[in-house]
Amino acid sequence: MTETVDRLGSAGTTVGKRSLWAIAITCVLYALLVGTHRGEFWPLSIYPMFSKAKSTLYQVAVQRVSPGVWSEPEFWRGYGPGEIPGKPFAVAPHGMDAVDLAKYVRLTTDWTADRKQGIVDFFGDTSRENTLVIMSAKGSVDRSGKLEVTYRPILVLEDGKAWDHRWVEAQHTEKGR
Amino acid sequence: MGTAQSTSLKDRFINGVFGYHLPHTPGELVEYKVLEAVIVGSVIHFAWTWAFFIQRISAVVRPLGVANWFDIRILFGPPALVIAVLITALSLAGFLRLFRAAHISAFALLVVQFATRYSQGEIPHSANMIGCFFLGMGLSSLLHDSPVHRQRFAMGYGFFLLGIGYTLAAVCKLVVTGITWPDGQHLWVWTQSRFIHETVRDGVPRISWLQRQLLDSWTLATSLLVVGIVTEIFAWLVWFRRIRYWVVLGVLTMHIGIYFSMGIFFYDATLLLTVLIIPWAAMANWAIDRMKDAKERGWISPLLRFSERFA
Repeated sequence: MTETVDRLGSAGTTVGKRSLWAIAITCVLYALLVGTHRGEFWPLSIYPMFSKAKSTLYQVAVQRVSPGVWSEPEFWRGYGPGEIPGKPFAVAPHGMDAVDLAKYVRLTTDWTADRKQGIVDFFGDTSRENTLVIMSAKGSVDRSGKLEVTYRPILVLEDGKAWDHRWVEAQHTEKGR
Repeated sequence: MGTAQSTSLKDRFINGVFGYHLPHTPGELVEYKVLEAVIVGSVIHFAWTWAFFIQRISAVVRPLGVANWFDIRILFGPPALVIAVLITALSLAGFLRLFRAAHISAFALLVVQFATRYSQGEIPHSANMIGCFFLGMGLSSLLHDSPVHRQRFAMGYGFFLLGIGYTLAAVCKLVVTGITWPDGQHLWVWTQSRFIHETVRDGVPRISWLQRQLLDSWTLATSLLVVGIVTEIFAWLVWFRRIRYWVVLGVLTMHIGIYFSMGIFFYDATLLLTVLIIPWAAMANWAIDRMKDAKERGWISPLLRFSERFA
């Protein structure tokens, strides 16, 4: 211990009271802010990560496929892990955030023109240079403890545009007439 | 030799969290300046990383925090770069003690920058503890005049929020899922989900030896989750200086376990915990004591002078 020490006052001083008030006000503000903002008000949070433990899985996958292969209705079926068309496309080397992509896709319930344009903007030039399939990966643990995952195409990005299965089905319905 | 320690619960709480009653040593000045340098460096890194990302976004997917108060899109593009410049200047001004409201002003702008960047759906938490300590540093400059009081307040306040955060995480798990949260099957689902995520991010998933063992053993997977949640439940004990080191060590170990089992690395939180666990004050005091008879105090002398000048 060094010889040069300064003895501070006790906790009953103004310093202590001021600090206690700061803690108390922080607790109140913490509760108010996270309580009124869905648990998140950076840097305050209720830290809900992994709080919902479940036996089901929902992820988003991206595959690069050959142009046009997606234009048949059969393409838009479910696939097992060993059957997924094309090859995995890594988003990080292209400056994209995989978590943002997953959240964007999972939170989109209706692929309107605006939402499709948003995903095209997200991929930028890569949506013009590649044919990409954005797929959902859904799985659950069965009674034996084995996890079964099914991949299903949601959107295709090609030539800077986004298509979904409704467009493909409409095209085939039109051809059938 | 100082006043007698009061024994009321309130005073014991204040003494435990902030330690105002304890003797002060020069090594603490060095310790605080090291921590502040790491915090300020991280804040500047966040400000610019987020600013560059904001240049590429055009729509709000999920507004967080202050993004619920106004249309955050007005800060897309060049304004984010201006904010980064201001955060950099203000946080450095605070580090050099140029004016008292510097850190808290930088903090306020960082909150806005965060809300702008993370309007795309993702809700990250790795940077939260850095933000909490930065908030404590900002408040300390406003609340206290004495450098020693400021430093003790900033440290105690940061640890207070750190303890709340990790304990809340445990509470969330038990409230949302219940007592079955540590079931090993849940870890299997998360691990598999992580593999798919890594394939999307990097092209190939990396499966560690530990992950293979966890996927093969329900007992091992469950045990790991039990240890993790118990560590979080008792994280609030970090409020108290006497036990603080061991709680920080436990939380740091938990993060290392999360990395090897789930492949998720909370870089900023781990960096902060590592800095907090290193005994900078003890090392500095040891160096000062060894050099006290010499004319110069070696490597510690300029560091100590800097820490005293900008305390």
